[in-house]
Amino acid sequence: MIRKLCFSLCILGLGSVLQAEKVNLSIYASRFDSIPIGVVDFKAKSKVRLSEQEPWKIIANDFDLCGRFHVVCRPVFDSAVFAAEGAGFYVGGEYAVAENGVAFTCFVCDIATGEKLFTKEYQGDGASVRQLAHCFSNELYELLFGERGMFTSHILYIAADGGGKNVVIMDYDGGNRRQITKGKIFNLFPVFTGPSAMLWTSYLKGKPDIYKGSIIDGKGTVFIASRGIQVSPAFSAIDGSVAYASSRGGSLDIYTCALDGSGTKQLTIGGGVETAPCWSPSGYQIAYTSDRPGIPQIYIMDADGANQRRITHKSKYSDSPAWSPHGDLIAFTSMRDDGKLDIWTVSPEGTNEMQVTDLPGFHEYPVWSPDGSLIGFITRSGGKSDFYVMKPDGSHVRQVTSCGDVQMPDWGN
Amino acid sequence: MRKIALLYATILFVVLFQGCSSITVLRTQELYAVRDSLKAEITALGKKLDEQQQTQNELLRLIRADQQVRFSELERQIADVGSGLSESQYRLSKIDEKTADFQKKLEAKLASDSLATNSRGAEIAKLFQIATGDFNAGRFDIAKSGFKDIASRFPESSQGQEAEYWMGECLYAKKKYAEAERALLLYVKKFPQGAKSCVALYKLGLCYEKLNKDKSKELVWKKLFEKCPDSQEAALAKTRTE
Repeated sequence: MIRKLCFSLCILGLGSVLQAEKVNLSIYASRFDSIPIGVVDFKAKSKVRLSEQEPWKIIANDFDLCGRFHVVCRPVFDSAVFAAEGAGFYVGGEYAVAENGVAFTCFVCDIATGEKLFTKEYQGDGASVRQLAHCFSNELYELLFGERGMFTSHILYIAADGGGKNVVIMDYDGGNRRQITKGKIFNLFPVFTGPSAMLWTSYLKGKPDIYKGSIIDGKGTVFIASRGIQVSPAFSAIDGSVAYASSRGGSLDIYTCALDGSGTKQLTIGGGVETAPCWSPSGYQIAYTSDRPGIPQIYIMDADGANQRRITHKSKYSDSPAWSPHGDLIAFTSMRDDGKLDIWTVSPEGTNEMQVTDLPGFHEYPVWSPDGSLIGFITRSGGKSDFYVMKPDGSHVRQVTSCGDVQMPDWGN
Repeated sequence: MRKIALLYATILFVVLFQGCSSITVLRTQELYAVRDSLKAEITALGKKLDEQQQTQNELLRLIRADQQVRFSELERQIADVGSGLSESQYRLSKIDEKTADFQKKLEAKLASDSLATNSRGAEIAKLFQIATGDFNAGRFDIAKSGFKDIASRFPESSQGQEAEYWMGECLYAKKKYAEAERALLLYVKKFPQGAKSCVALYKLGLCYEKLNKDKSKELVWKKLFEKCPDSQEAALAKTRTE
């Protein structure tokens, strides 16, 4: 009965969207825990060799990872299976040789009537299949939920590689992995400062300094250096400010400056070891880790250093705060009495401290998806460390990578 | 000889016997007289005793009568007391009822007041949380409205007072430094011992800095150093003035 209702709502909702173009369907979509959707293999209208994963599987994986769909995958259209799963519509497509490579047609189709409700056409070379599939997922997602999806987002992370640690980028779903820095030196804490730029800590000169460089070729220049150590850069997209931890004044404290290195300000002063700054989405506040109570705990302060206040109290160890894009939660790594590292969340007011991972292994380095719908994190287990995602309440856990060498991720558009 | 002795003995015996007999008669007569006298005396005493007995009886009767009267009086008084007790008990029970009723009403009132206080406290906390959430999400205009609402509706509460500080903070975040200056100055004046007084002094100095009022900044931070010498804000202000 519920599925029939869902089916009807899907059809009615999608139909109205298509009539009214960009209508915010978030209210409609919020009626579902997960919208049932079918995905079928794309038809090849001419003989084309696609160099990567098949687009329908990429789209199906997108919908599954985001946690807002119940995906029913079939190589060919199967109305009985789709109907049994409550799916009101399905995604399909075609591809064929075009002048500049490959032409893709992706569509959303009414299962009951066969009517095409939404169609998009893309062109690209065989290597851009993955990108095009993600673009279609984004467009459909925006149509349904009225907000941009995170299917074209990327993850920067550190991978151990032959004695060194290097910066690697991959699509948010673990595909399209590409090493950015090369060599046998240690690189740590990479963060996006734009679509093709990043900051990271490198031991290139034998001590940890912060570098600014390109994601395209990995080339960079020293951004912040001193006699001490410079770690944990964090970039605010609001005004381009950078927060970081530096020991230039003796103890490790939080500083900020502009992306051109000007206007350095010290925000914490000698209260203990302060590190891991993280900007609030407004760019007005910073969450960070401080050991001034004797054990590392999460604090927040204004971007000018005022109003410093502790927001975690229950753990033996808390670190790596990550402020949600909606501003309502801060995810962090925490160790409780069981000696295990888990991901927890807390409100910026310091209330509702809640454990969100309850899985085997050690879970750390939480990062938020750009749309705030998912928390990514690293799970260390059996000598491997991989990237996982889950909903902010800890449900819908999905393993994204299986290479076993993912550390210190940053999730950016 | 023996006969003579016997004769003499008999004669002695007769003589002694006659003498003794006379004495006995005399003695008997005396005894009779004594007896008679005693009888008369006993009779008199008996009469006297009877009279006394009668007197005593009369007295006893009077006493009994008096006691009866007294008992009756006591009974009446006891009855009166009993009746009074019943009345008192009735009144007490009425008082008890009224007390219980009053107690119930009082408890209900207290519970209602407590509930009202709690729900009021919860309402303030909730509103404050919403406004803070808006502030943390960068919705500074909405947050300011929220804080203004709290400050105007609950001016006596700690959150109401703190909301006045946050109104200034919202304006500062919006880079409206002149307005922020006014709001923070108002907070500092109204709540010199407020929870945010040190931060407000620091932020006020930052407003002056943005507005190029260096003298005012100097003065307000001097006050910050005096008032909150160990605060993080004082340390931050020092790094900015060095």
